[in-house]
Amino acid sequence: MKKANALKNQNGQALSELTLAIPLLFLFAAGIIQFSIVFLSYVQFEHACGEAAREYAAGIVGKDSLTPGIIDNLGYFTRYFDLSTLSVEPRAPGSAASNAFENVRRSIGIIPHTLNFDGAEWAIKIRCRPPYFFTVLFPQGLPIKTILQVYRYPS
Amino acid sequence: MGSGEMNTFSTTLKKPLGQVLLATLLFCFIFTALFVGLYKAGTAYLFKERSRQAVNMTALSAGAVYANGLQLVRESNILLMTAAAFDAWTIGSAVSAAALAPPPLDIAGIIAAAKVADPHTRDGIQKAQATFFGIDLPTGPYPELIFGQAAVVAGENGLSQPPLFAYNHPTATAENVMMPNMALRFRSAAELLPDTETSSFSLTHDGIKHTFSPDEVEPAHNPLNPSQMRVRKDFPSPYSGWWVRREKDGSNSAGGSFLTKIAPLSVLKQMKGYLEKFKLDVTDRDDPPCHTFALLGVMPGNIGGQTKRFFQLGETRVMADGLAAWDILHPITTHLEKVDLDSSPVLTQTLQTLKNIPGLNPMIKSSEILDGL
Repeated sequence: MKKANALKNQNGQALSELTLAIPLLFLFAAGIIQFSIVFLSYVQFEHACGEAAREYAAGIVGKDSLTPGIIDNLGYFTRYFDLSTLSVEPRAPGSAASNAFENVRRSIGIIPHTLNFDGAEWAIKIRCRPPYFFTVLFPQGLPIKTILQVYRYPS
Repeated sequence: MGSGEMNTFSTTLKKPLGQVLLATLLFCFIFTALFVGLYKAGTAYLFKERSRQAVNMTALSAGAVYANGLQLVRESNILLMTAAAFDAWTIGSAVSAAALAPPPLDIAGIIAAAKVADPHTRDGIQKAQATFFGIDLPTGPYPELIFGQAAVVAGENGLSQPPLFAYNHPTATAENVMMPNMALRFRSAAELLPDTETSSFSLTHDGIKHTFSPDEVEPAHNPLNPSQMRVRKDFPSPYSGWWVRREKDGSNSAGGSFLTKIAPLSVLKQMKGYLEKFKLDVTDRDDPPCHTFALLGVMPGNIGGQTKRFFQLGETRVMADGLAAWDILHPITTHLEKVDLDSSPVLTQTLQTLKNIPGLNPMIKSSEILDGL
C-alpha cells in the first residue's frame, strides 16, 4: 500500500520515468558503441588489405596468397568478420589506360631483362558480422569490398 | 498557426503528457544527431584510411617501375663500359709512344693525340642512354613510363586524376621537381682521380663535391640507417637537409686510385680538363644517392550527400647499391617513407605555390597537409 502511494507522488513519478528511460538510454548508447565497432572494423579491413598488398609488393607473398596476410592484420577485429566469406579475386584493370599500359608492358617484356616489374589488382570481399543489434538488423552480415592495385620489382 | 492553436499547443506542453512528449522529442533529436555525427566521422575516417592505402600502393608501384629503370641503367652500363674500355685502349695505344718518350712529358701533345685517336664508340650508347633515361634532358621515355604507370595505378586505386608527383624532391630544384626524371648523370673520368682534400662529410650533386665538417651536420633520423647524417637544417647552405656521406678516416678517398695505376698523379692532374670531358657510365646525380618518388593523392568521398576530398602525401625511396656495370647483381629495394616536409623546402615551396592557385586553394586549405607551414 505504501509502495503504491509512493508511486503516486512526484518523486515516485520521477523514479518510474527514470526506470523507463534508463533501458532506452542504454539501448541507444549500446547502438552508438556498436555502430562505432562497425566503422572500426571496416577501417581495420582496409588497413589489413593494404598491409597484405604491401607484403606482395615487398616480394614476401605471391599474388594468390594474400588471404593469410589479411587475416593476420585484422588482429582483434577478426571476431567481427565472417572469415569464411573472405574472397580475394584477381581483377582485370578497370580503366582503358591501365589495360593499354599492361599491353605495352607485356609487349616490351618479351625482350629479356627489360621490364622486370609486375603488378596485380584484387577485389577483396568479406562480410562483417557486427555484434548483437546489427546481427538482428543484418543477419547475413554487412558486405564490405575494396579494390587495390600495386606493382612490384622484381616480378 | 493561429493564436487558438498556439494556446492549445502551449497548454498541452504544460501538462505532464506534453512534457513527456517534448522530452522524448529532444531525446530522439540528440541521439539522431549523435548517430549522424558518428556516421559522418566514421565515413571520413574510412576514406582517410582508404586514401592512405591508395597513395601507398601508387608510391610503391612507381617505386617498382623506378627500380626496374635503375637496373636497366646498370645493364646498359655494361655495354657502355665495354665501348669505353675499347675507346680507352685505342687512345692508350695511340698516345703510348708520346707517353713513353724521355722527359719532359708533352702533356698538350698527349692530349691532342688522344683527341685525334678517340674513336668515340661510346658516344652512340651514351646518346641512346641520355635519350631513353632523360639524362641532361628535361625528361625521357623511361621517366615518362614511371609517370604514366603511377598515374594509371592511382586511378585504379580510386585517386582522382591527375595526381601530383614529385621526383627526387630532397635534392631537386623547384624547376625539375615535378618533371619526370631519374636523378642520373654521366660520370666523368676526372672523378676517378683521388681527391686530396680532407673532410669528414661530403655530398656530390651533379658531379660537384661539397664537403662539411662535423659541426655542420646532424643525424638524418633515417630508421633504415640510424647512422645516416645530413647537413644541419639551420646551416646557411643550399644543401641544408641533404644527406651526407661519412668519409673514411676524415680524408676523402672517394674515386679510388684506379687511374694512378695507369699514370702518375701529377700527369693526370695536368690532364684533368681532358678527363672531365671524357664521359664514362651513367651514375647517380647525387652522392649519397637520392631516388625518391612522392605524390599528393586526392580521393573524392561522399559523406552525407556531400563530396569531400581527402588528401594524402606518400613517398617511396628506391635504394640501389650503385649503378655501375659491376653492381648489376646488387638488389634494388623500395621502401615507403614518411614525407618530411620540413626537410624538403622544394616540396614545401611547390605546395605553397599550388595553395596560391585559386582553384586549388580551398582544396589544399581543407587538408591537413599544409598545417603548420
